[in-house]
Amino acid sequence: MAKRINKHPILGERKPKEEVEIVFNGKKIKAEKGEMIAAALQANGIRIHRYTIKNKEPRGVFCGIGQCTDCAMEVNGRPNVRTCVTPVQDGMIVNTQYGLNRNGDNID
Amino acid sequence: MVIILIKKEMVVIGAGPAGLSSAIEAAKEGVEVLLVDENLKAGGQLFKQIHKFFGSSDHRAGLRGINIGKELINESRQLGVDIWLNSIVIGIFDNKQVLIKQNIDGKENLKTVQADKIVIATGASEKVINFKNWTLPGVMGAGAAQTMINVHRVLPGKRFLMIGTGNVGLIVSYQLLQAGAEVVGILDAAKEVGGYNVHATKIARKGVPFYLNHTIIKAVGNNKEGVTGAVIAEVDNKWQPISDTEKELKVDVITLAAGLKPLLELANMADCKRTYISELGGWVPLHNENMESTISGIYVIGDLTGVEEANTALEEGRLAGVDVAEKLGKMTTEQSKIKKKNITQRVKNLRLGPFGEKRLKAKKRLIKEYYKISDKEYKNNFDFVKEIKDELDQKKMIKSANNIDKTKSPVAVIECNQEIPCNPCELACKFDAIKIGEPITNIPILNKEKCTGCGLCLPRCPGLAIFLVDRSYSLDKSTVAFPYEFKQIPQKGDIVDAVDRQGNYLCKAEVVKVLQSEKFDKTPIITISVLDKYIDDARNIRISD
Amino acid sequence: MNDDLIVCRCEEVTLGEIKEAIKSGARTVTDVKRRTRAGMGLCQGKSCEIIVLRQLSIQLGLPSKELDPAKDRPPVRPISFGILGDEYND
Repeated sequence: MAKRINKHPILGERKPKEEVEIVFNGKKIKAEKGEMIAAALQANGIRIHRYTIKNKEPRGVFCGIGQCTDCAMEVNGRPNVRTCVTPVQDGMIVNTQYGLNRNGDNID
Repeated sequence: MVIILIKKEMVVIGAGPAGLSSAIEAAKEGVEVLLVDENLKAGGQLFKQIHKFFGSSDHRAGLRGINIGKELINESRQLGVDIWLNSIVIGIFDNKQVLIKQNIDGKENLKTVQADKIVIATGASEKVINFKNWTLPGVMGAGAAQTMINVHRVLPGKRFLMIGTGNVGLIVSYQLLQAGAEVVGILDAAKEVGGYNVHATKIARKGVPFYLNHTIIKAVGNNKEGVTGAVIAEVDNKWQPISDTEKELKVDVITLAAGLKPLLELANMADCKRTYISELGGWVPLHNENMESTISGIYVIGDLTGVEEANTALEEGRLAGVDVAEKLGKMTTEQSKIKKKNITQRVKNLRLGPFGEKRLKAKKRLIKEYYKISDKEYKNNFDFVKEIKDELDQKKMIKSANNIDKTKSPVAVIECNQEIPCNPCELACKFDAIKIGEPITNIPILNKEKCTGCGLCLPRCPGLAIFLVDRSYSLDKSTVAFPYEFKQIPQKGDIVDAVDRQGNYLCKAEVVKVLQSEKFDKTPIITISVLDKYIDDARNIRISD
Repeated sequence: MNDDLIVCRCEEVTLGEIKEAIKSGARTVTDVKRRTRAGMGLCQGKSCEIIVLRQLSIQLGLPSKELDPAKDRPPVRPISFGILGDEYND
């Protein structure tokens, strides 16, 4: 699965950054201060961000630059947060989004 | 709702290469500039471009995108450009009012900025193609993968299939390899590679299989893991898949590089007239020779006005910046005329050659439609830039570039046979042995008499297309030196596998020299020795982990 | 191509639904949007507009340049009602 790139021929050695913890679906996982939520999840081998409202299909990072909103999740209780452009914060609560929110509550 | 109203002479939307350079150029003349970007960092897509750029040496060619980004940000800061990051332009309204959601330390404010001039530099987004299961996690844009590896430094998988052989597909494939991923294949429905040969050979040398005349049938996977494979098939001459050619590749990421399309929302909202030009990525706003849209005082620059490379975006930004400064009375018409002429000439040079010509024509169309004028009127009014290309016999040059001299050693071998707007090699040569001249799309010609075999041109070539061959190394062996931008650098004395231009195994080779220097900007030069008979084919090495 | 293929990723609109909309009279991206919700989701059609345009072009036999893209309106990016409703400024 996914992994961090520690050594890179152009970018050099990855400088260790301050570690923070986020809570993904109730489980603590490690992240790096300031990195995007999506990057932290990928580094932890997580790539399913949400399940769609109609077909209950999984979605993950698609555009990676905040345009497509496919990577949206429920962050600190707020749904539809674009995780590829939102940095982590220590103690942040990130949940898989089902439909429109964590509980899968639909509008219809 | 309390909305604070601020006044600014110039508001630039989008802090990518185009937006930054327009801000810089205007600020140099004393224009008060506000630069707004929705991202947390300025630089647009420059920070994921870790490769060396093509272009003219006097304009940052040969520098890596990341470094250009850093320079531009520093320069704009020094010039006092006001930069609002993490700030989203919600809309552009009448009389050049820009509504911005500003974010200061997580606190959001709505601000309306009354601008004298607006420069829209919103860039482009990736086009998609859809196939069965394309919504599975693990199918993503090539740009998304590139952001993950080069900006966030996380590999989103292990085995990648790239869809699309345009420059984005080729470059991102190369960068995936640099990041330590396996690129299982690169696929295109066309029968030829879409991007530059030099980019294609960089990944071919690493043994990446090219599936040309192929299409993706479906992504394979499930709702727990996402993508676990891809089914591909050959296509017939009507681009329809041939059913008995289907095969499944084991991959966990499928990356889409189907081209880019300009992001017009804000230009549309401002009522800028547009037209459809497929060579530029689809719908693009019309603009005049100074990049001003059909709405007076609103400029459109960069990928928004036609998908090209960062070097043209930089020049278009400068053009708009100069025009804004002139219109605001910060410089005289005479001063701006000279500046504009130089910039226009440079942009034109970047649009020559078989790759650039279509864009040059398409860009002319934008101006013609803007003024509603004929070809002839365009020529009379705007074609003040001299056509230099016709004077040169291109075919002769291709021939001479491929004519490897087998008597002299060591000597550079330039494997650059497409007209790319790029000339750093010419300047790198201290002995005047490499000639490109004007226009910079000329294919480099090596003067073998003057070439001393110093190898300084090797790390300077953004296409990694120059090699150094020494046939006089020993009685039965020759050496070849080549740039090698991967993390595992061999040591002198190592025995490695020499491979050909397609990445096929040739023979064992000894590493005889490893050159690394700060001047090479992370492009080490490796020299290997092989038996004489392999010297015309050996172009890379494979190191087992 | 299969009719159950997803076109609009946000609103989960299929190719079959797009085709149906065009059959029932949709002539522009906006027409298709009103009938199917394709392009009405969070991303506002950033991915699917191009596929819808392609379908319109195929089904109506028109070149892409004769098909107008959707109309753009503010906000360009998703924005919460909170900020529009003055949650922060006072």
